[in-house]
Amino acid sequence: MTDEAIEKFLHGDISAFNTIVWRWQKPICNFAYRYVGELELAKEVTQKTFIRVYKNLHRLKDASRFSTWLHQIALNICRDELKKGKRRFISVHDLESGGEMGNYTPGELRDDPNQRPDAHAHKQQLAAILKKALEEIPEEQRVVVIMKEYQGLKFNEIAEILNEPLNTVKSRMYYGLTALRKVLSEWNIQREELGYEM
Amino acid sequence: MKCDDVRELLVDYLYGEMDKGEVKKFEGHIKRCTSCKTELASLQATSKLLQQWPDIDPKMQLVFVKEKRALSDSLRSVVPWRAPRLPKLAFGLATALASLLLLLALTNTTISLKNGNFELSASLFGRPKSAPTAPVITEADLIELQRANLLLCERLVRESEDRQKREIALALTELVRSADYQRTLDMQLFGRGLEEIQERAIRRIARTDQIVDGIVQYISQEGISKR
Repeated sequence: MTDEAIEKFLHGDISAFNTIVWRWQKPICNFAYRYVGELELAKEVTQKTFIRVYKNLHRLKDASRFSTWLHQIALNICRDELKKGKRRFISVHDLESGGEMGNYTPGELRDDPNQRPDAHAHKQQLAAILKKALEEIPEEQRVVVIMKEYQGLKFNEIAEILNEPLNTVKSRMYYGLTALRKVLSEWNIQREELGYEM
Repeated sequence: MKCDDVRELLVDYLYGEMDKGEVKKFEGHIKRCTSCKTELASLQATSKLLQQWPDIDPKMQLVFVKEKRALSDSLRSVVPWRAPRLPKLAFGLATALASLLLLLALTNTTISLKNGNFELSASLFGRPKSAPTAPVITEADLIELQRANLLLCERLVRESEDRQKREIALALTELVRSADYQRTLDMQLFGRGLEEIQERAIRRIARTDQIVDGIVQYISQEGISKR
């Protein structure tokens, strides 16, 4: 679908670009959200990403590389935005989903049964814990974990996006998972809270 | 296969990116080595756990539209000759007129009207010495001149009308095309909006059903316990 839309767009059909946007805006926004940690900033990153894609799509030689190219642009913009480092705000969504975990630490979330009234809330809290855990590991490992676990990219694609050797990427994935396990263990989050043996 | 080698392959195996040839050797080692087996299970658990963070719906409506051009710009692109640059044109005309006058002066050109015909004479060596003769303009000459002027005016007006009709037709075509394009975009947006509303309604109905089921279940349990 994307290949065809790219072809049409390059031949002047602007509505084809909107097809590309609708196909990719959610994955890119989720990628940015997990990377930068703020929904509003992630939306801004997504918007900037597609504007850059719009301006530069004619430079993409091989349409089959679109996904990696798009992630590369999104990552660069995420990094630029974080470098600016001026904006730190919590969106309504973050508050609703417990994005910043409110005033609770992971341990308190785990210990307070009143904070887990139902499965939906439990899922939201779990998402908040995982978000916090990802923030604890080094950036070079976090980006690989996000791309692999949530974006479903192959290791060679991640290596291409990051412009790093394949073995380096795999190594970062391994150490990233290990570091996450350690962080979660330190928070004393156990099988009964998460549903999995750590 | 050694444990150190296996560690490098753990993530390949975990995400199904291991070469088929290696899978058998790897699995063989995992069966025999408790340490590597534990390591793999732990990585698998962490990976599964990460999947518990679902995607969010950012509720974004990014739409790219073609930049709208002013009608005058559209006309200029369609009929480029319609809008010459005025200062440039004036300068060109003035230069041409000045050159013509200079040429006429240098060549001692004389233009006269005799019996309805224009007479043109020129000399590089001064005006020919001839007896001054007063031009004779008859009524017939004037009528002829008026008729020629009238024809010229009619032709200019006709040409101007034709040109305006062409311009209007082109502008209208462009306008219709823009309106069609805008309508297509609106329809696409409208369609997506409807889809979203439908999805939300379905989710809401499902949730309502769930609550009603819960209430019914609760009431029936209460009834049983009272009996």
